[in-house]
Amino acid sequence: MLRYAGRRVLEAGARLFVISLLLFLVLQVPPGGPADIFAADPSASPEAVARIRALWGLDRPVLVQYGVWLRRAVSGDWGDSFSERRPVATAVLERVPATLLLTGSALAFSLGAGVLLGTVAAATRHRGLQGTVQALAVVGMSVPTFWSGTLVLLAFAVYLRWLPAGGMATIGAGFSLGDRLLHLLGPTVVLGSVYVAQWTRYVQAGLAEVLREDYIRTARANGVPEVALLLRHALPNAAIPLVTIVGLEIPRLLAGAMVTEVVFAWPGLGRLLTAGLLTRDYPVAMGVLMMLAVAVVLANLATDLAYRWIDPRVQLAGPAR
Amino acid sequence: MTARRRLRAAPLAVTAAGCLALLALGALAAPWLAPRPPDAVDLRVVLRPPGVVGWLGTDDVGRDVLSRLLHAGRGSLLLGLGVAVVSVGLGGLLGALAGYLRGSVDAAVSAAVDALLSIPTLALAMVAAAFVQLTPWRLVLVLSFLSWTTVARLVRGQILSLAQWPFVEAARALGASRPRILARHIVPNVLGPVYVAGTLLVAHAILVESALSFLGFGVPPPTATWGGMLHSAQVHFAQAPWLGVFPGLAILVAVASINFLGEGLRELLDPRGR
Repeated sequence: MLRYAGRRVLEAGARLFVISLLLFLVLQVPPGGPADIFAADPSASPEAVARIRALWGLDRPVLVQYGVWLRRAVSGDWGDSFSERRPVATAVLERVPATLLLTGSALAFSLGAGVLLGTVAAATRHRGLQGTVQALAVVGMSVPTFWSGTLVLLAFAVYLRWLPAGGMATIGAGFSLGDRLLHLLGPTVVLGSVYVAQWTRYVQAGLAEVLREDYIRTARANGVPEVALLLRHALPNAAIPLVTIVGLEIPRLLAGAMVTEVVFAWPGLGRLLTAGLLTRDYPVAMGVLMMLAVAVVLANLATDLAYRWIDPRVQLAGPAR
Repeated sequence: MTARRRLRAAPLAVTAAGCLALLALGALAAPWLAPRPPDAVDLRVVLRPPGVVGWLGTDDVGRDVLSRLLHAGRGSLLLGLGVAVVSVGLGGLLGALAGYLRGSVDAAVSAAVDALLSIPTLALAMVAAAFVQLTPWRLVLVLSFLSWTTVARLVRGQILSLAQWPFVEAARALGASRPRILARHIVPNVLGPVYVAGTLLVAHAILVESALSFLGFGVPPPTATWGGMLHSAQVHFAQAPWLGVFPGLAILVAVASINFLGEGLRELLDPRGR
């Protein structure tokens, strides 16, 4: 297990290195960079532009810039935001909890609902229900969240006034759990509902398969009650593949969260990236993208290790992945 | 015959194909179907609800929503199709090279796939859109560059596993040449899953483009897409919800239809699955 974990951690590190190089090249090479924006200002003298380029290190070769960036990034210095004149690390890190809260609660909501519905669908073996789940799974992944989110805001915040019109807390009021939950409800349901039917489908298919296994028949013959059979004996095994699938969906979930954040004025990484890109704030964009990549790589690492921990049969470097 | 019976057993896929055909027809025939030119401004009929002036109402400068919707369908659907074609080509080629040549080629392709898959497509597309002057064609290239990974991974995996199947070994033992094995045994077996992945890519591309446009990073105005319509609808959403409801509905129907079609195709091509 330790060797497996060590190998996976090394792989994750290598992946982050490749990603950072790729991002750096994509962000630095194209024209229209920060110095170009200053140069486009007619009142900027060539000397002033050159001074700014030198100040930001933009006059050096790209690979040297990358080396400098990498050394600083590893030590926690992500540069300064061009537009906000403060450290990128601060700006990015203060947005992380909001995004984690939103993605976490959306994931929890969708998994809870999915496991519940999937278990019911598998237990009742109702064909119509199972067909409906299949169809809803496809519809769920087809809904544009920025559209459904806007409709939810319109219906529940503008017309009915049941929900706040966005943000993370009521302005002026102090922090209270109820207030936070109320603000969280809309974005959680909008983002989570994309996945509910999908998880339902996997749980149901997994349960249907596990319920045919010999050990279930043995347990049933030994007089284990049907509910215990389902929940204690079948569900844990049926849920194993779900770990991998959830891990694979993390990038999409984060992308969905970014859009949902913009709709619900949720102060997370998505809004920071949108604002940063609209003002061409390179270091901020780089910081957010790296943060997202770190989140995805860590999530994948966690699911790999969790999978191995739950199911020790998994080997390193299996055949043709 | 069996194919027809299977089709009848999949009413959802057939319905989806019908919806998609309608949308595509509407988009193709937009210049003849649209009651008014999509960009015709009429300041006497600003923000009229559906049914009063046009079937689906008018926007903040009096343009007909239905006409714009039909024309925007061309942009959205073509873009989705373009992205799917380019990324299947690119991903198929790179995946095949990785699976066939293995070694350092495989390592390089796999590293690129892993890296690209670790960052949300939408975030990277936003970055690209912020730094490149977007034209519809460039957007297709950008999105394809971000979407080829799934196909490449699929093709690579298929080739690696097919090479170990007994029927390939048998063909080799019978003295079939490498190109012949590739053309007769490998390619036909890889194509099925690639069709499915390609179909799903069309849907994904339409969704990503509309999210991009919604966030303000889409193709600039003269080219209309459904996402672009949603973006400009934001300001007036509370007073004129029809401006946002219909383009969103169009996206939902198109994307869901394509996804249903993909699922149907998957079951048609691989009756063992499920």
